[in-house]
Amino acid sequence: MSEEPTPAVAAGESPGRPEPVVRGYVMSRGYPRQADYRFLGAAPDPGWWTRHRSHTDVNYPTLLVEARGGRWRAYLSGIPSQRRDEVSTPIRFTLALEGATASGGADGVVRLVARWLDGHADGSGRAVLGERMDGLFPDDAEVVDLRRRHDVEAVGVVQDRMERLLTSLEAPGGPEPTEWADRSWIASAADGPGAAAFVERVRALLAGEQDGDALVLNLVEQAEEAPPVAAGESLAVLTATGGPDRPRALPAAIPGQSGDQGPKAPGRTTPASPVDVRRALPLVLAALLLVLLILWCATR
Amino acid sequence: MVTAATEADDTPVFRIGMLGPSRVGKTSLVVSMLTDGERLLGGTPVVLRAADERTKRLLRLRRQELDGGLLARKFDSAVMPGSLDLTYFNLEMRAGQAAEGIRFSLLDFPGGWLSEQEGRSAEEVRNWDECQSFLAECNVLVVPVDATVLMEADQPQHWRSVPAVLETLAVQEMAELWAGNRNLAPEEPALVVLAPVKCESYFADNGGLRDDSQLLRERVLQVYDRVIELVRLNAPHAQIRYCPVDTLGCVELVKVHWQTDPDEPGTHRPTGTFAIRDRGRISIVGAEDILGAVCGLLAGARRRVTAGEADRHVGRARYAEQRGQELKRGFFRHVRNWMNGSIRANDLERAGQLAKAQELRNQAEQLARAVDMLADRKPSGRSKAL
Repeated sequence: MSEEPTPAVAAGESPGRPEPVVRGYVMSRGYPRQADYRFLGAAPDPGWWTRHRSHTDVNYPTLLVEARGGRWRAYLSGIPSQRRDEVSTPIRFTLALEGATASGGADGVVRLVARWLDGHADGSGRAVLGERMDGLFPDDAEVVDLRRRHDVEAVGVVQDRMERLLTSLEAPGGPEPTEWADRSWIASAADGPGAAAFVERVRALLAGEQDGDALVLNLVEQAEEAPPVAAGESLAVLTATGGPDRPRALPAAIPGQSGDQGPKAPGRTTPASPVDVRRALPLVLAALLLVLLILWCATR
Repeated sequence: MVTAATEADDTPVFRIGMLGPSRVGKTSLVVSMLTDGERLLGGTPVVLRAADERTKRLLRLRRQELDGGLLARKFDSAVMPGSLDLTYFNLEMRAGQAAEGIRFSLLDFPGGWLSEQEGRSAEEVRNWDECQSFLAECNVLVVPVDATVLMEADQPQHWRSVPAVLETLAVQEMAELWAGNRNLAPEEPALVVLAPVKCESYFADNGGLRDDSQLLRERVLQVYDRVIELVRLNAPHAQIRYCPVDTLGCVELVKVHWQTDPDEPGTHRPTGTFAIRDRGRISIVGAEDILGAVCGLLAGARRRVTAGEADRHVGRARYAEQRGQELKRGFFRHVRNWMNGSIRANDLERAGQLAKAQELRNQAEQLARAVDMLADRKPSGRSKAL
């Protein structure tokens, strides 16, 4: 949890193009079988979200936000499109975003997170996002084309549309974002206070007020299964299923303590036994007897 | 010990790879095979289950999606959406009364990685490398085949498109790589399963109206002839099985529409529309044949290894017996070794080795019985050894 986000070097990025405040990436697929899921134009920093594989399955709705070292990055999967693939299953969008903390422009990302979370159980918020994305990427042929390209123009098209998405989003109704008293906590994504606290935590992370992670995970149901909290950082976890009704504190990390107890020593680790005096005594007596026997034989 | 990665505790982990292009039905087949593992192996002493909580939840997510799709009656051809990322399923098989389970790992991945090599991102390259090395080293290679594509091709232009739609060249290349690797370890278990999926409309044994099973088999063997040939050539010891599967069992093909691929005008691609039969109750058939073949193969391999370990313990016991005789040779040596405890330690060592050998032999017998029962159990009647 302590790996620092690094600035993206997008494939095809033009050195002359100013670095956007929020860089956005879109993954989707096209209708043909062979046009499988792939980032359109450019891909973000290779697979930083795969570090969370043991706690979430990105094939199902997942939201990950990390902030540390003056940078933040976000990953949102499970946004449904109205487009369908060759075997008629709905296509999905996955979004990845990144930027510098406290650099402004993050309001749209906070609204994006709030919208994604809205009605988490029935996916209504994600459906709204899906409609917006379909509006921005209405043509399957264009998606198929963009997923093949890494040139400046393709990267620019995707970036412009992501900026349009972020500026067009309004905050969903519901509880006002409120900070939860605990620095690290876990709650159910279906829980109103938990979702509101999560949105507030994302705002604080993007504003650079704290370092840490805010994660919506689908393979975690209880506090004991949550990722460990890194020392000096915060962690907010929402569970897709199960989880406490109200935010529940996660144990803070103890500085210097590591779960790794060091490599196992090969073979036996039992220390060598001290000399067993009770066993040695008969041996000494036997040796003495032997010497006497030899002397006796020699002197006969 | 047999192929397979070993975990930190040195327990061997057998590997099962799914080899098929995008949207062929890999994930659906995994769900069909694994969510009902215990039921599918009913009547045998073999139990298959998720080895950890994570795998249990991965399977539950997929099963919920499958069930939800059926309940919503939105089923067209596939309910499972395509995969975005690779997924490992960790499973454990317990055979008979064996104290230890047999672990195996199954990998599912986005099929597009198999064939689309141009313009990959660094992440895709890394992920595909991981998949490729898993597939090359796995013990069991399951090749799902979309039965609809083979059975609904009735025009020359459809047939010309079949290799492109099923990505048969990419499958061949990977199968050849796999077989070459298997040939380097002929003592290890090796199995290829050709598994046509979405077979509901071509068999009459699960609510279907017609029996085109013979034609399906002929077409699979015709199209995958080169795969079979490459495996036989490069890994003669590998078993090859044909196991057609009704992935859901409660659907019927209504119509198929072949469309020209706008990117490849010479290629026609089929889209099937399915209707739900009866009450939409899932009735998987054929997945148990794959599971049975895999479990039989792995249990048999494990039995051989366990029996080998037992023999090694017997060998050590014999050595301890000879050493005991050495320790007792001559009056003084006998007295000295008795007094310093060497004789007793050696006796304990011999008894321990014999006990371990007995325990392992019992396990090997249990595994042998499990293999026999898996072989004797009533199959669906669809599966064939090739």
